[in-house]
Amino acid sequence: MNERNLTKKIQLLKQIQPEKDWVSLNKRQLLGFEVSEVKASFTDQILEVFKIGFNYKLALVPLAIILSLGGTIGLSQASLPGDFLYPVRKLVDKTGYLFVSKEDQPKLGLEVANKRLEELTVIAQNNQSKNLAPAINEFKQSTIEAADKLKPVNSLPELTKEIIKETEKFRENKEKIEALGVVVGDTEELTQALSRIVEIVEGQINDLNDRSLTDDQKQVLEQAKQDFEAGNYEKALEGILILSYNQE
Amino acid sequence: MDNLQKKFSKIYDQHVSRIYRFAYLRVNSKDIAQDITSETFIRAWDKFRADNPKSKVKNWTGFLYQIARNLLTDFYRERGKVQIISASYTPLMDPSMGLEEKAFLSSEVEQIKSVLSQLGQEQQEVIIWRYLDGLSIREIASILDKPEGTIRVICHRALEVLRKELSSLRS
Repeated sequence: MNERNLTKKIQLLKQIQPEKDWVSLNKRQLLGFEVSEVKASFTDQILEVFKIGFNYKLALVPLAIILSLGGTIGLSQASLPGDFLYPVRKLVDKTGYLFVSKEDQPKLGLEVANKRLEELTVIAQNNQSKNLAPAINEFKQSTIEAADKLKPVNSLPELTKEIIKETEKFRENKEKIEALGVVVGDTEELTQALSRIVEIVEGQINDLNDRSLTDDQKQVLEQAKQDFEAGNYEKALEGILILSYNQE
Repeated sequence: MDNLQKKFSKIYDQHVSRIYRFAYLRVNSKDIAQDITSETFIRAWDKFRADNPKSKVKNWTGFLYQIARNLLTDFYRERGKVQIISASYTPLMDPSMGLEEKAFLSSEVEQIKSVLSQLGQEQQEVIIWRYLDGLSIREIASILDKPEGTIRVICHRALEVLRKELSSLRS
């Protein structure tokens, strides 16, 4: 008798089964319910499917995706134009516009332009000649976008201190990169937009000049004029805003 | 029926026949096999309800066999017997079978039952788990807390004994 036949013979013992009535009764005594209840209802089956969603193995999949996405975004923030991950960094910057109000978009446009200028400065300082051309292109594109976002800023209510701050930062960054001998080329659109910002501040100073002011207010205006002439537009705007609110 | 009952109910359905058969082949009595099976599930249900994550049962098949095995050991210790001969007998055959077929099958089943009872306790258990319940060598090793190699040896020797005994019955 070979092993297969022997196994078959042993398996005949599978016929030994407990009586069905006893199985059912024993279960009822043990758990206190009828056997028929054991079959899961349709609702239970649906719930079971949802429970699977909480299974830790499945939960790891979205977690891994989130972590890898977060990691990629994090790494991309250190990338420079011409690098593999740079498009991710650009995409993150662009996505930023979706999450800010219209009033804050001019500021964000200038922030992005400043970022591009800073990248350009790093490339120039490290003599990364390969990255220079794409960095200049990125910068130019960002100035066009920033100018576009600055278009709605035509009067004092739209002009915020943050915009002025970013404008000043932009001028400083531009001077820095030009000092490194990098010619960034024509950024006329943004230059014009920034000039308009300065003109708004200047126009406001002139407007306040024509109004009747108290001695204290005159002092504040005088200080704002001095700040404006010194190129400290942010401080000048601060003074203007104080006077404007007092006037109202 | 709460969630615990539902989960345990599934475990019960999956294992009740196997535990009963395991007990029956060891004691050769329907009543005692039923008692042991009942007690096995009562103990398992208590454990299931009190189960905390730290001591969670990972393999319910193995766990149930362990309980049944301990109960069988206690049973034999109390009775001071190696084998119980019971008057009760569970009909094993399908009622739709013909008389001739029933008689043949009965003799076959009785033969194998009789030969199996001649094996030692461990050999019986290994044969039941491996060839009746389809447990892997690893699972059996885990239940008996023995190396897999030892289980293979026990299995091989048990099969040899069965083969010899069955051949001698035929001749």
